[in-house]
Amino acid sequence: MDDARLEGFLARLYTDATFLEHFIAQPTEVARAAGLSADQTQAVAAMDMDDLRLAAGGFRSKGARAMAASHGSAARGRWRRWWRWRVRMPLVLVAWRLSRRRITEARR
Amino acid sequence: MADRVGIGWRPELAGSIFAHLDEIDVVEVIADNHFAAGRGGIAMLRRLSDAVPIMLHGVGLGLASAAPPDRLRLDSMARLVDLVRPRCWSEHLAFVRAAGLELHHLAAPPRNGRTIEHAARNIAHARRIVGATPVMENIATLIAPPCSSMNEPEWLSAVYAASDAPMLLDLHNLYANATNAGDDPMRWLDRLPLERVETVHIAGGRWIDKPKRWLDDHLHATPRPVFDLLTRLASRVRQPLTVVLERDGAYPPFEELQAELWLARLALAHGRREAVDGRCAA
Repeated sequence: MDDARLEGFLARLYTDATFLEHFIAQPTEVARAAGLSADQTQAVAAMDMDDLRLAAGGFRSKGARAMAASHGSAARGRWRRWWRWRVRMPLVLVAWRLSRRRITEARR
Repeated sequence: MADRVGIGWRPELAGSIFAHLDEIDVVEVIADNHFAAGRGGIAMLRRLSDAVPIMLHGVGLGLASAAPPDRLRLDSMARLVDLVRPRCWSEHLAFVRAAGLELHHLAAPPRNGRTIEHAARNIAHARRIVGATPVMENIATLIAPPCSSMNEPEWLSAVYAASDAPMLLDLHNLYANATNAGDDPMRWLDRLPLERVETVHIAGGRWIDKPKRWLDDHLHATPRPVFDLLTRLASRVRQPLTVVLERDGAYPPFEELQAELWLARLALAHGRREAVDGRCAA
């Protein structure tokens, strides 16, 4: 059995809404056309289609968020990382050290 | 050694985490967010690890995939582990990309003998490149993976046996999967190789309708049954456990997260006491 082919088929179901609906309408035909073996075709055709739709919706929304975070915003991402790690984080560390020093002095 | 309780490092929580370091034993940093870190970024991670022990958590290697993990990402993980010197590094028993498609999320592979071999091979490969064995985490899934010949506890047990990897047991993932399968999470817990558990994740989720499923969204407080699972786990094992609270958004006032950390400490203490009482009675 070609496990990589099965993973690729599942990945397409999870990420491509049109392909998913086509599969739900004709599961056996679509799986066979994708080159899955007879056993794999039988197994994917037996999947719970409501669960599959739900899971695929989750994957697509995660993917859309990832694309929104990266698409056309490389500079913004760099700026955000720079702000978090070069500006905010050192300030937080300084504040933490000062508060530790104050606590230590108060204890003395 | 004592049990430890900590929290997932998120930029939104940074200030609150530093303000409460006396109550946080460890923080878990998402490694993939720092693969491209330059000298400044690495220096900040080192300073963070000077303040509190850190663990690195990978999300993008897909070590249970039929394909070997991406070499560039593995090299990035190796570099980060080498430079930051975390307590440990972890990854998921999932595939995250296939046939050129990025899922941006964790997908459950079929639970059968071949995927056990794939996972063991990939974990061994990752160990060779990174120089330390990854602690491997069970994932949540809304769909029973096709071509499976085993249930989840059987498959997980076989993967840990074949790979000799320590376990990061996500109790909320276990709770979600067992509940959605109409099974008892406690029974699933009892069937896992608990002696391999080093780290534990706790998190929250919510019910969704049509079909009615428990969703692992990390946006809600940890539900009571997850703390009950933690108590049970602590009563069943002797090794120290590191418990990490995961929260990925809809951040509440930090006091609420502190309360969850304290509930985790209570659950651990309760489980340890149950174990001692049990041994005394025997």
